[in-house]
Amino acid sequence: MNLNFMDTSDLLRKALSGEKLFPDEAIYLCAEGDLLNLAMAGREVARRLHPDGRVGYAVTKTIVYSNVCQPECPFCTGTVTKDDPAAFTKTIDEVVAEAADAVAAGATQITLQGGHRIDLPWDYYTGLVKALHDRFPEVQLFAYSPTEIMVFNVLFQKRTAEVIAELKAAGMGGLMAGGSETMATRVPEYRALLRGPWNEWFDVVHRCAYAGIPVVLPFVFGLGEPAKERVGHLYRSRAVQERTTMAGKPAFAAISVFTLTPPEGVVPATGHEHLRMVALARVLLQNVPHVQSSVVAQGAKVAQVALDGGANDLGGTHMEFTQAELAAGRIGPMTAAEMERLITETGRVPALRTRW
Amino acid sequence: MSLAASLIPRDLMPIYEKVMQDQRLDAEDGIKLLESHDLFAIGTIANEARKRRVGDYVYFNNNAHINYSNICALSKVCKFCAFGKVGADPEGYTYSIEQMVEKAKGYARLGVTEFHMVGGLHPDMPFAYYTDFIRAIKQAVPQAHLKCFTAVEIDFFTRKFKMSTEEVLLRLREAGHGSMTGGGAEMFHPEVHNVLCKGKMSGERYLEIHRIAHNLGVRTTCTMLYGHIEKPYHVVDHMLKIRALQDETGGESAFIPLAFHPTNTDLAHLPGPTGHYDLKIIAVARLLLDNIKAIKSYWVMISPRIAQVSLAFGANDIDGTVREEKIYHFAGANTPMLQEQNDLLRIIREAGRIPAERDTLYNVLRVYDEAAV
Repeated sequence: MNLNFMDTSDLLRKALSGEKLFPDEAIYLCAEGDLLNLAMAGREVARRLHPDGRVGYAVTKTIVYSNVCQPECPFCTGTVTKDDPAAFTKTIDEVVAEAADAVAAGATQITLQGGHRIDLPWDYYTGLVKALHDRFPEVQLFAYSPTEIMVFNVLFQKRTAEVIAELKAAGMGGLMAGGSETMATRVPEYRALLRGPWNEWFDVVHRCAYAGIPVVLPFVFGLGEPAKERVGHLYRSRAVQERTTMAGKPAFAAISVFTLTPPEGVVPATGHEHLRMVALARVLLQNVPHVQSSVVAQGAKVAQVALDGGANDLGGTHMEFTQAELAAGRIGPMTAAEMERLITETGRVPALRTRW
Repeated sequence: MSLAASLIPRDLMPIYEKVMQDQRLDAEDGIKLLESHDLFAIGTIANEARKRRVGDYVYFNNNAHINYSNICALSKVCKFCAFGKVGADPEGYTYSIEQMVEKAKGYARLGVTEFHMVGGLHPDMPFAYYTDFIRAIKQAVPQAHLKCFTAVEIDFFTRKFKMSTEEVLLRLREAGHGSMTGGGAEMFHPEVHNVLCKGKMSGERYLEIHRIAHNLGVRTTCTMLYGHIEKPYHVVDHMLKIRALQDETGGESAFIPLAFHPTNTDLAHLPGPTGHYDLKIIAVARLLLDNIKAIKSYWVMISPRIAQVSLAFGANDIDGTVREEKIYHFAGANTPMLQEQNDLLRIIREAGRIPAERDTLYNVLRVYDEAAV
């Protein structure tokens, strides 16, 4: 008889008391923890961190400046090679015009995204950021990602700190730290040529923290990874948050939990799993202020339910995406009004986010 | 005590305690649950009730829907309905007996064992149409259970064909009718009923028809349409009336909450229920309806993701019905059905439960425990 065996309830009690779980305990929770216990623990942590019950959301637009890319990440659709007839690269003016429409429609956050290119000049990237920031200074501008910054290192012979300083000077206001889903063993499987190892990824994240740029940490699950990889990502992230917090500049404003289209042969993750992962992230990463359950990524029904299981943010409205799963069988663009309804129905207070 | 139970807020603890002592909940408990925002606490309590009352099986069956006609005399009466049409409408249809039999035979080739047959209240068809199609399908597919007609249709037959309820049911049974479906309940409370479907058969009549059916040995299921204009006391009123009937007769096999879908209805301005509300309704159904064994989630209607989550909120029955009639056109190909069944088994197991294939009357046909993969 193993006298040290703890079940899900015991492990969650340990986590709620402020003690750190050993990695194998966290892996057990990730693999075996039942939904109700996890969600109730997640709810408890969220209440302690956010007793006012406010739930953030933003009116957002993602602008893709170019769909040309090289890496072949199976969860990504919509990128093409340079000679494909559907390839495009927008001018700075075109991007600004798109942003103007989005801001007129109420956008509080714009995310600049594109494929990994090796043929565009550095002042295109800084120029995009500067043009958007100069024109719309009140909009929080998320630009690029750690992997793109790693590419800039190489392409433009600039140190990471320099790249980030220049982007910040141009007006970058946030970083969505994508690329982490190819951590550990998965990189060779995805043949992600330009995605680097995780310590380089974390280096970028640290430097954004020191430069005062808020970072949103993605927790992507359901691509065929085992529980220990999920926990590995969460534990490494928690360590980064601890170190940067000690230096007075916590790296992560939020952790965003979502799933992507998995590679062939992997069964897509369910809403049930999403709710468990939201709760797990909330319980394991008590040093990250906000947990986001994206309405557009997960569908309005399940994302809203996550608000009772640890999440306190519904993500952005993603006005570029018109086929979101809304409530009650409706499909259409997500709106601020619908976000507010989803939030108030759970007894919470909606808070339109203009800044992290 | 589990961690979840220890975190149940103080105002809901008395309800949890009643459940742990197998005590019946009352209207006040129901309202408190519906007004509470502590969703997972409500789920924890409902899950406890589910475990104590019905165990870990999650039921599913192989059925198919055949809607014999969408021509409906109530076409402008039910504001929540996107199905019914008036006679001249180009989208109106009525299947012939031959067409019904062909469809049934097609589904039977895919392994379907139950036909769920409801339709509009057809102003012109004679009673023989109904007994004839039942008889014909029973002859063509003798192994299938014919689950036909809501209380609304039965009521319509009594008035149109000038027969008593008993006579209608006995003549249908003689033709091969197996049991009734549960639709048409909408919401009993007159305040809601008068807005949703003024002029439609009342809640009292629905319950009366169910009582008569049960007394004749005809089983039924029962439903509630939610997520429109109702308040908590309307929901509780509806459920408690069903509970009272069930205390009397024991004839309801399952309760199915039906989510209102606004698109293409006269109430399209309403937003429709959210996942939060869907789960609360399932939980309250499990907690109040202590005398109905099966609380069912519709896979398609409330989204597959929420249907799976609802298993933690008191549901123990999933309807994974083959809905698209186009399945019939796959003539003989069984891949779509098999895939859907594999999906069902997987999501039930992921939720920590045991899939159990059932027949119409909830007899277990096969248990899919881990060893039998």
